[in-house]
Amino acid sequence: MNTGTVCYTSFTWTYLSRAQVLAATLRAVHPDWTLAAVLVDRAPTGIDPDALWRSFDSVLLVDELDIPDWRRWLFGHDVVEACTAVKGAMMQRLIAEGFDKIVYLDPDIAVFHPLAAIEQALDEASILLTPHQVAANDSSMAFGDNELGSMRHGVYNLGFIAVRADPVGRDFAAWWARQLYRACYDDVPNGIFTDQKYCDLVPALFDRVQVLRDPGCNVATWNLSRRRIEIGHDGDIRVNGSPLKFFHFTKIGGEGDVMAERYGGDNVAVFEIWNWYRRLVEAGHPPTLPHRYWHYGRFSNGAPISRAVRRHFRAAPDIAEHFSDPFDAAPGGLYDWLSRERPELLEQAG
Amino acid sequence: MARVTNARRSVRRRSASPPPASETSPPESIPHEQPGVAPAPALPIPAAAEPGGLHSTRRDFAARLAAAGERETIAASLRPAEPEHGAYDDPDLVLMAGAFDAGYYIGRYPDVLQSGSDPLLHFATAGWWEGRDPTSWFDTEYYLASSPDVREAGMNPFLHYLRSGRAEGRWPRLPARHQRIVLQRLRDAEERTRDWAVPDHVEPIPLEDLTALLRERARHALGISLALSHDCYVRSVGGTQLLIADEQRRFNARGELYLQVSPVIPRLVLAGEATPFLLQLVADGKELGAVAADALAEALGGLDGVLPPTRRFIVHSMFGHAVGATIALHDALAPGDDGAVFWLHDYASICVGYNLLRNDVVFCGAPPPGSMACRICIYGTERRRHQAGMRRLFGAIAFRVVAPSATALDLWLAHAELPHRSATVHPHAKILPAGQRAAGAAELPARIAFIGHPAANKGWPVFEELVSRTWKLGAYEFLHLSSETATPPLAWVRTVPARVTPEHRDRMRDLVEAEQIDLVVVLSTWPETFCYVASEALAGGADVVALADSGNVAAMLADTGRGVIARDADAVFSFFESLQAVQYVRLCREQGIPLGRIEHDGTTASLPFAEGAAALQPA
Repeated sequence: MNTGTVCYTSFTWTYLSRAQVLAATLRAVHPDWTLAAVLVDRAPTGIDPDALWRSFDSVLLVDELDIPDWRRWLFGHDVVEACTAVKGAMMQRLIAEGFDKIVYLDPDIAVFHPLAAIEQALDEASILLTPHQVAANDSSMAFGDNELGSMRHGVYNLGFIAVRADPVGRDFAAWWARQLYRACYDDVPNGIFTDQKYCDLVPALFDRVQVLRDPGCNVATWNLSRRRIEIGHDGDIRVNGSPLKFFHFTKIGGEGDVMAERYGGDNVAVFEIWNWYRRLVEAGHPPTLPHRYWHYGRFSNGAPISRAVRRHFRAAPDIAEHFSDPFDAAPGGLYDWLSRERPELLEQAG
Repeated sequence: MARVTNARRSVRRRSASPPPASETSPPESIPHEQPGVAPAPALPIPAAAEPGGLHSTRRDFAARLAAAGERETIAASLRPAEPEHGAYDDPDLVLMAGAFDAGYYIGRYPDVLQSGSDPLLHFATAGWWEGRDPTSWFDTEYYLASSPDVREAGMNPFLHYLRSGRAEGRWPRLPARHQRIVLQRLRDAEERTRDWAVPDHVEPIPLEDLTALLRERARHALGISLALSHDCYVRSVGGTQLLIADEQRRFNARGELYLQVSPVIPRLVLAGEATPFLLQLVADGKELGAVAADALAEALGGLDGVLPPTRRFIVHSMFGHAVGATIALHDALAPGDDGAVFWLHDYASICVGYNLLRNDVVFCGAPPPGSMACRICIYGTERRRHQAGMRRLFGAIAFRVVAPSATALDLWLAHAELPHRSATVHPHAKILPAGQRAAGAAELPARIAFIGHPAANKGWPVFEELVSRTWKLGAYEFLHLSSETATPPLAWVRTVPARVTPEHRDRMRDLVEAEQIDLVVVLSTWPETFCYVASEALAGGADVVALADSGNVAAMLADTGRGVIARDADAVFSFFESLQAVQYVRLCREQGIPLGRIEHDGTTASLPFAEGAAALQPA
């Protein structure tokens, strides 16, 4: 039976080097915590899976999570949806394994100063959430990029959530896992954004929910407009005066770079940290890993599974019911059927 | 082996008899009476700073600033050339004309001037497509890169900025530019030396030949020094190399033998302990060739009856050296309790980032190696290995630590945590009075110079920005005194070729006087241990503009009362843009411009404890 605090994350091989930075930086300040991971992927040939085990105490594959009919279920998700959809089931499992406090951190987070305050907050609270923004923006552009984003995608960033294994925490994990099994989709028009938008309801549905407004938590491009990072001669890194606990490097190397530029621009320390993270991630990336590799992103014959195919699949329960393993490209399988009946869906990008 | 004590203990031990004037004890009791090494003002700027983050050490400047009307009069007397442009009907052109800098545009793009095009029309129709900038403060390519929506819409980025981007809070160009550019090019210490030339094949001098050679040279010598530094000082020119050449000549003049070794493979880190470890050996300024470190140690050890009793082991730099080989050389020479000297030309004994610039951009204050700041620093990982090497070195050799300024020593004592026999301040040079500069230069433009290598840690990017912001005022002429032209050459800056050599040590100082420079900008972003450029400027008759974190530079200005200390780069820009710099230059001229002679006596040879041979004889 386990006890103490466990931190888990969820990722694919493409995010391995990010997850390794998370694990290394968290271990540096909390060597006593257990580190767990869900791998929503299968290793490509030529990749050493031991790299994972060196970073985490336990690694579970998605098929080990006891998710009913998991292959059919997983087929309906793109990579971001899939990695978030397993978070609830994993939280339930870790509670069942006996951990007292369960912390989830996204794989693209790095930990800096100790998270002791978070651990202590769980002595009182059952659920901890961090909002994307804790201070309002004035300019229309900053409001549009930030608050409006929160209104669409969720007030709280689910790169972080922590629960105590008490009845409230158990109820929450069960509720969250149910929602994510039902629909963990990027479907903003229908009020759903993966695992995140559901959690707007959490302060209303559950007791003992604490919203962490510490500017040192979950620093990211969506709150940099109101956070100033300073690195002192004592070597500490502070955000609006509070020690930097964890930084969330969302979409680094892409849209994140544009937003970091826009809102971190004259704060040189932001780019010292941003560039440091990028160096580590690039250095740790497996050199032989195929670009944008994801095992569950392709049929068994290697053909990519388009977003259109996934949407069609999850919108048509009769099709899902008909094909027991939708990934299987053998004659008579889903791929075969799509090739004949809906080839345009196979050809769509994404 | 000498007994190793830390400074605090050694001071207690010596308390019965006061130390020599130039020796120091722990930070709290360091005397500051040496010329040019007064304590730096409290950082970032003294409480009594003038508005705008500036502190003038020259008397009466604050009162002068308060006097009404002078800058307005100066501004009125300046007539910057504004090229003509047409009147525009198009509302977009009218909007852009209000912010467009035609003078900047044709100055930066001479082809536009030659074509005879209207500069704004050129920009609006072709220039922005070609990535040209309409003013010094708007970077067309940056704006498009940082605003994908504008880029995808195919809009004129300058027009977008003026219409809406400014109100939205978008940046017109890379913010914190001079630091961000350095960050973009950041490389670790190993990577930085990867392109350095390394000899294909080196044939070290055989042990027998080396022994014979040293025996011959040592036979009649009255003393022997073995000095370590990062490169072969007779091949390259720089502050440390010139100082080592001085040191060699002074010891030679006493009839002593001076050996210097540098690593055959140059590095900006400590070398590993693989053998043979090859060194380049120079004797009395003559290159003898490569030697294996263990052979050199064996040869020295075998000369025990021949080596003179006065022996010194001098470390100017450990970069590229192997700690184990260094300790072996020291032990073979056996210089005795007082004979090992470690110079603080930089802070490489604290961190492999030798100027304590975290990620090459911000003075870090030398925090503990396990700190978050070190974690995200490009030098953080290597620092741990480097620090272990330094601890081993200082644990094995009881160094007399010598700093060229009190600022450097204070910092070292506070952060190095290395055992040492003593800690001393000994400036590399002194400025002696040498009359006044004759009047004669026209009042305007004031002459502003950057001296030396156009490097980021010397503040070249800040100088670049200063020039681009203020050249059109017509109030300043900018000069670059250097052996090395900036690449690409900077428009509106006159380059004055100048090479300092052992024969022409005062070349820069003489040029400052000859060119009648009013102000030298020394924009080092780290606490310089000693700054030759500041000495050359002051001796040549120029006052100095420096940043608060510049260590010995700011300290020199506080001591001489001849400069302006700016809190940051923005305060420097404001000083020049507001024409306060012109007022300052006027004040200098009214108060008289002192000239100086630089006395370069700051080598190991002139250390008080190195003057008498008796003090250095082995126990």
